[in-house]
Amino acid sequence: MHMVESSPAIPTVPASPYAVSVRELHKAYGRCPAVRGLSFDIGDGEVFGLLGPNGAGKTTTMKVLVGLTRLSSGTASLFGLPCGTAVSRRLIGYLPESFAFHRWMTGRDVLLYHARLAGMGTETRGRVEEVLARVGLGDRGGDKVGTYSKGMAQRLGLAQALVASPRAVFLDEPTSALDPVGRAEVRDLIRELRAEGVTVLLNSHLLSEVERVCDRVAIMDQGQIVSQGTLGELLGGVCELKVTVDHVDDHLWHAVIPYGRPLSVENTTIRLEIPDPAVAADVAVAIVGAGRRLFHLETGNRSLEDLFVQLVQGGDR
Amino acid sequence: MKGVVTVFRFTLREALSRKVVLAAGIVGISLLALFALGFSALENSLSGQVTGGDLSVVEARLFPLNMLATLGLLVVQFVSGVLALFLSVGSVSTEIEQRTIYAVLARPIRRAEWLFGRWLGLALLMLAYVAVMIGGVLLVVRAVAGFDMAGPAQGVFLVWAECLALVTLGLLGSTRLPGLATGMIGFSLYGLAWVGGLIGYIGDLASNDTMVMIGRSVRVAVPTDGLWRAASYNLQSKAVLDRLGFLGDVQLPFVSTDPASGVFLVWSVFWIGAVLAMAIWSFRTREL
Repeated sequence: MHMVESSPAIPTVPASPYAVSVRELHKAYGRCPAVRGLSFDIGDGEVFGLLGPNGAGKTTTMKVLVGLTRLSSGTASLFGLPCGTAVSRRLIGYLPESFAFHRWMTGRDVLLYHARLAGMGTETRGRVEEVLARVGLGDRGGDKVGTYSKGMAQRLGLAQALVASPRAVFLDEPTSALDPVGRAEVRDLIRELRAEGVTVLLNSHLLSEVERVCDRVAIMDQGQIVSQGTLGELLGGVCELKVTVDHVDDHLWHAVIPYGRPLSVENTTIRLEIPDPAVAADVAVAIVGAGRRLFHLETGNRSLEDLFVQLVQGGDR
Repeated sequence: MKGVVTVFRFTLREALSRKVVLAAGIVGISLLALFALGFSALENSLSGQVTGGDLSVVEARLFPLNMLATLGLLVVQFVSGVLALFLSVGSVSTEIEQRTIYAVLARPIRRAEWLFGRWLGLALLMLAYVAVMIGGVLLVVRAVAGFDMAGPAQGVFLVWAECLALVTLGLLGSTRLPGLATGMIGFSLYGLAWVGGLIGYIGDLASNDTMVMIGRSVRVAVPTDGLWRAASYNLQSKAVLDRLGFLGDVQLPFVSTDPASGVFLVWSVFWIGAVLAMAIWSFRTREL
């Protein structure tokens, strides 16, 4: 499927190396700042994850990009076009967080409505059937939305975001209402979009989802980006050591603390961030030297979740 | 323009799917049936009477029939006004509360186009409802009593304009307030205009300039009652209007026996346009 070429609604756009480019974006609601000096770029065809706790400013950022909210200062562009204009909105599909569709409409009606709003012409009906099939609603398109389960409504939301063959798709918590199978299908869908050259901006609380599909990630907290890069850049070079011993006390703690930064202690399991996997052997010697019995030792890369918790809880700040 | 047409069609379908239109339809049919029964009964009782004394045929027969027809139309315009408010007060706020609007406004459609499409859809619905209801009353009048009103088309147009004023007011409130709050404000202003019209009428009878001024001021602020009175002139028997003109300056409390001034009609059109422009501005500047 050629998503970009198939729609006559897609306008000619200026050449831009980035699908999304944001510079010093500020957004305040009254006196309350929601986004403070955000800057990031998303390459054409890239899958970019925006992470952060509730109130971090992720949804506000997405709303600015799709034109639902005006920025207070700074710039934001889509494929070189100012965001929020009708022309730039022809290039995107948007799945809002906690969205709803009119319950009296059928799934097919919803997609036809959105396709027509997107300026699609004679190819609309064929495209609607195509995206219904793609999200697994091919046989339920004629049913009213009011009869859909949460998961089906979420799939319809995804179909709505894709119906106008966008060059970039903005997905705000796309797996929030889905079961594990549905989540896996959304992950596959995002990978397919990437393969087709479609840019994806993904907002999600589910770090494992982001970890599995995103090329690059930005972590937001209190309206600012606290870290961004590829997963390799964010997580690489740091090793996590997990040891399980017979008993944890101050004596043991003082023995292992010189070797790394403690991440957590849970019952008799200690997690440390260590600079090099070879340090694990030194930690093992220290534990035995402190008179403790070592039951389990495991090294691995630090997870995105650890990094996220560390950054948004002020671990590094 | 394509976006306007899409939203216009959507609005028509949505309204027809809502129970408020069904309820208004049932109320309308009941109202027409009740009116037909009452009007026929009155005509039967009058047709047996012999006119005499000081009463002309017009006064003896047409006056009561015209009065009942006018009261029937008064109720029709009230039900139409209520429907106009019900349809409009939630048309934006409900979309925002239920979060159905977010994906829609991320499409390449301007908010002004979306709101104008909504307004056009509601305007057409109200035109259809008003035309059917007033047409129904006038058909009953003609079939039973055999007389026509002075200007049925103008009457329908003016009652529609009244509904349009309410639709536009409802849309304006709906861009910023929840449906319930907009409904309260809309009904209050609708009632205020009605009371203002009555104050003006009584002030006219009592030659009280202050009351007349209050009535006129309210009519300028909210022209709904003025539009109904303008419509009511056209929705009365020409023979009755001529006779009333012959008898002198006779006024009735809820209707007008004089045509509306051109200035007021132009003001009403401007009022609707200005409120629509405010609604569009309000919606365009609203943060979602």
